[in-house]
Amino acid sequence: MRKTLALIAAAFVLNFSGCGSSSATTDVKASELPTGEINTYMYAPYMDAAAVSAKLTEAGFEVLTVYKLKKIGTTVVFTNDAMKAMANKPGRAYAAISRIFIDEANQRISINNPVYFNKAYMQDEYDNDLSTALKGQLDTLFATNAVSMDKLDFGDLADYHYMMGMPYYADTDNLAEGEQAALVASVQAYNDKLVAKKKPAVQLFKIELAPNRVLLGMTIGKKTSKFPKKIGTHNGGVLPWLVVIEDGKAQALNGKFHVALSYPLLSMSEFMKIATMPGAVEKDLKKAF
Amino acid sequence: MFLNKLLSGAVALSVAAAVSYAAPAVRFNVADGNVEEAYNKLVNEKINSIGYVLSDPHERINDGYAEKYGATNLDNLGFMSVTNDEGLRELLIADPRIGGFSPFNLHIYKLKEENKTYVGHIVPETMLDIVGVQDKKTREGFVALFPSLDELVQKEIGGKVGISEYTALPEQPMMEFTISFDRPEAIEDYVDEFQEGFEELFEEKKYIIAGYKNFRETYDDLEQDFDKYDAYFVYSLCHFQFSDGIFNMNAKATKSARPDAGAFAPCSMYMYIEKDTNTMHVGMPKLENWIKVMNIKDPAKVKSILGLDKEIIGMMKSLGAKVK
Repeated sequence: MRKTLALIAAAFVLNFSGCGSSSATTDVKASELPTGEINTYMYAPYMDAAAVSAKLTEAGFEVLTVYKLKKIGTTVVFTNDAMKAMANKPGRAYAAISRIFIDEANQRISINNPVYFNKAYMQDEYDNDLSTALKGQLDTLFATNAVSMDKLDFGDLADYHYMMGMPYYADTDNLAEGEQAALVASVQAYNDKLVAKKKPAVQLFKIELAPNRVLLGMTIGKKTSKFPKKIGTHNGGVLPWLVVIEDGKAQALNGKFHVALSYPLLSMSEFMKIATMPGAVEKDLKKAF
Repeated sequence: MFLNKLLSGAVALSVAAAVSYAAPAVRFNVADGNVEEAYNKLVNEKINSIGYVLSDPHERINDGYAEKYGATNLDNLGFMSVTNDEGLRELLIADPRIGGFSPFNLHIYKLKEENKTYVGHIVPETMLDIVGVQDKKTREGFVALFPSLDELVQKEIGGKVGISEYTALPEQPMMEFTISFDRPEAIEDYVDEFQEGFEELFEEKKYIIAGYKNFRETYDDLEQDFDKYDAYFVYSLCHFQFSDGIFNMNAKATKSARPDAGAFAPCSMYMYIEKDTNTMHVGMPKLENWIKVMNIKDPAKVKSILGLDKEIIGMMKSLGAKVK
């Protein structure tokens, strides 16, 4: 089989092909794109969500949400002005945020590698200077000391899909269409209705990148959100889900794509364990429109 | 493969083992060429216009067979679980056994060797006969949900309609169970705990939870009454290796594959708890129905199908279920 079971590289050194250590990243020119395999996550010594948030804030990042999932872990979602500016382009809004997962089980934090995710989300508009600089900043800030076994070739990231017949980045779930402001208001109204009924909020954060481009961080259903327990909580930072409302269309990354990108070592057998997840995510998200 | 023959509704009213003459089994539109694109538009977009909802799409299973088992004789095999949510509500209240085919698969398959695509579903009267619904009003209500679907399939997919026939259902077409439990303060706590154990067990035995439809939640979202039940959900179950052995001609296969039997897949297993009670009712059409309704003769396939029924019943018993 093309895929192998997911294993975590606790002892890997930080340097990896084409995407150097923090001291080297600032010298990388836009034309000097990485080559070879890019690790999906950087690991750093454990700290709790409050400490992670404080470090991010001190470094000038804006913490958008601290999202805790029972028996899975906590995800800190953050952004800054440069990330928002980079992602303020048609079809690129997903790149406006990044994530740090507080992995209680493995007693470490897992940081989304900006080079990996930005290439996947920005496609041919990938900004190497920004991405490598951001990676270097996070490496330094959290003293990363290992990288994940999860990785993909840089050259494959923009065209990534799990296997034949599976979705690419552009194959998003279409949640709703309508007037831009009405779609944004619809989510807010649904959220407020749930909160009024003393149910958990579904809209965790909202970033207005432009009047016609809004990025939302949203929860999915209680049962749906348990899926990381079936395929490994070590990459549990995959949640919350992102929804983009752009030019009167509400869209989300297809569940199969988002999970495959976040768990690149996922075997087909493991993928089958979460067969209901993609449809359930779409259904859960559509409730807000 | 299919007889272009529609039988009268009266014939279908005969139930289960009593059926000893030809009854309609599966309806397929047989379209020229590869109509995958039109089918995808149908299930993903157009089906909503007639009140149907696609819940757990599993497109191009054939690619998975080729990847995992090395070969396929199929250009397409798709399981698309659909329901008419609003139309079903009163029927599920009247008879919860309808969950045995809610959702059902609006099936698609295409053989590599043939320039035709098959799109269709089990005939609703046959679904009702299998789950055991006899009440005239409930039967008419359920059957009435299908003409709009069939018209849409005809419009979007086209082709000639063929309806296969069968002569008898198994003596006991359903597996049915009850599970008693100590009712906690919040019923969700019991449901969560049961579901975790159920899914863990089935996944351990290499089954795939291919779908999950929570009707209670669906009607809560639609703000429609469904208070008869504290919980009502349906699992769609699949076993990939088993399904490869039935639907696909893989590298090791020597007998003809039966992709048409995919109309029965994945299997819908309903589970419900009536309001303020402490018993969960579980039911699923036996896979043995595939043998009878699809006229499957290959001994290896027959053995595999009967083996899965036996295994599922055993697994449910291990979860504390008592056979009804």
